[in-house]
Amino acid sequence: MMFQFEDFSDFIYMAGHGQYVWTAYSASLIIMACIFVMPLLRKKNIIQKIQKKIIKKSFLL
Amino acid sequence: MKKLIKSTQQWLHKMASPRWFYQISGRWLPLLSLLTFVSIIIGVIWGLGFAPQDAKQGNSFRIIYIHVPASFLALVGYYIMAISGAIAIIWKIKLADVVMKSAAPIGASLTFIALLTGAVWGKPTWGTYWIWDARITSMLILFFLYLGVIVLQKAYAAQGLSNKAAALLALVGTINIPIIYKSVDWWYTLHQPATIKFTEAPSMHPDMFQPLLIMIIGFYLFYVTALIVSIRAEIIFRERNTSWVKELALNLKDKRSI
Amino acid sequence: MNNIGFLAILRRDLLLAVRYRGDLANPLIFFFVIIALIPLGLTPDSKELSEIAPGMLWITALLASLLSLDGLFKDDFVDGTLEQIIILPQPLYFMVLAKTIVHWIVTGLPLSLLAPVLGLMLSLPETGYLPLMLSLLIGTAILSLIGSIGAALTLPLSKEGVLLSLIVIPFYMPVLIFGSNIVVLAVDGLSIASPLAIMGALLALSLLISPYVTSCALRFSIYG
Repeated sequence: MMFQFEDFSDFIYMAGHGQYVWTAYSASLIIMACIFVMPLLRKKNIIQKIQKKIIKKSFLL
Repeated sequence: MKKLIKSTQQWLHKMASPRWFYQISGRWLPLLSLLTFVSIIIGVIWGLGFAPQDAKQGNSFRIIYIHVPASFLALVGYYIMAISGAIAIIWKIKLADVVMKSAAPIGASLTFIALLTGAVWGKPTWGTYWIWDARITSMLILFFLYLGVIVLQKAYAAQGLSNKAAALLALVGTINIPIIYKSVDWWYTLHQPATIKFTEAPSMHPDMFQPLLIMIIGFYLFYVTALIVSIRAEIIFRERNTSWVKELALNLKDKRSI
Repeated sequence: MNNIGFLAILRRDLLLAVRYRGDLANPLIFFFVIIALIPLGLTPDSKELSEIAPGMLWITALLASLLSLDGLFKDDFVDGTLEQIIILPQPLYFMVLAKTIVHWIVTGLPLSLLAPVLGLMLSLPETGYLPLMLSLLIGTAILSLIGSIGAALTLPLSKEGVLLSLIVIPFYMPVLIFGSNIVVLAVDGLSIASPLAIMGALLALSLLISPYVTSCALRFSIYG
């Protein structure tokens, strides 16, 4: 099993099909990354809000 | 025997507790994420660079390594959504409700990826971005089913009502999926414009098939990981006023971790 | 069926439909008007129209049926009658079935009977008239049944808009596929036995399942 392309520019070009393959792959991987990252950010957000609330409360006491 | 039943019941009870799930999933998440990342990277590099190209379709055939796993998980994801919805309505387990709510957008996005990659694949292969063949049409209808569940969920949430209606809709959809697939299949054979066949999996050369297997495993892992991450965020949100979450927030303030 | 609940609801809804017959004609008028849009938007050419006629007639009938679905439970829900019906000791399944049957009598049945006339307007060949009516009779029954599920699911929502249509249309697609195919086959002079049989099977399936699912959805709507 060997690398199917002669050099890197050939890898990008893919005998004319490069634009399709790379569009498909990059779009999919970006969407998948978003699916993964957004909940993490959401959780961080909520936790920060809770932390601020607790600090506020402890100031008022 | 009685002891076994009792301990299973206790385990199920624990499983249904959001806090317990949060703690357990927190332990497994790093490993799962690593496995997901590794298998997808390996699959992508193998499929893009090392698998031989198809005789008829050339290099655009490489899109299969995303299209097929995505379609597969899109369908499986719908059943996961429906089953967790069923558990939520029948046994009123809140965690199941959270699972369903998280599964919906992930599944819908995977369906979208399947449609997108299918369309991009279509251009060099058949000369057009969209073609109404049986498989793409079925996938489109699956996308509509997902959208229906998500939209219904949001509408109910906007009024502060519970999620049961969306769960019921998802369940009805599961009955409908085989009917839809069969009827679209039949519809397509009636109006068949030309004999266009998608790559037939059994006749795939093992050199082409192996990266596909890795990608399917990788996508499964991705689905589970993304689902867990989403569930955790939703659990924290729903339980934000409880003491264990507040304690967690205080601990995290000093540790700075995810 | 001598089920008390079934007959009572059947009689009540039919009486209501007859007494408030102002809205009854709306789906029919809608059907009529949209069919008139088609030549305006596409082509007045008779031959081309006859090619798209089966599908267009079916799609429009489907939309007309869909639009009338909203009122299936809404009136009773709003004034509290629905809750009273649900807590009755009679099984909800049959009462929902009765409501759906009345809905079909009031919308699907007239649509199917009107369809051949509109088929004439779209240059549908004569061999298609009877199959069109037959396929629509069965098809709109299925649509009423499946649609009742959607109507029950969206009942508590205030700002519906097109939500009901969005949810229900994916379930309508197989019905549309087989229904319009019956007409196409008939126009081509072929046997309509197999899609007709499948339509019959879908009708049987929905008769069995939809009233049950709709009752569950109604209970969710009222009791949360």
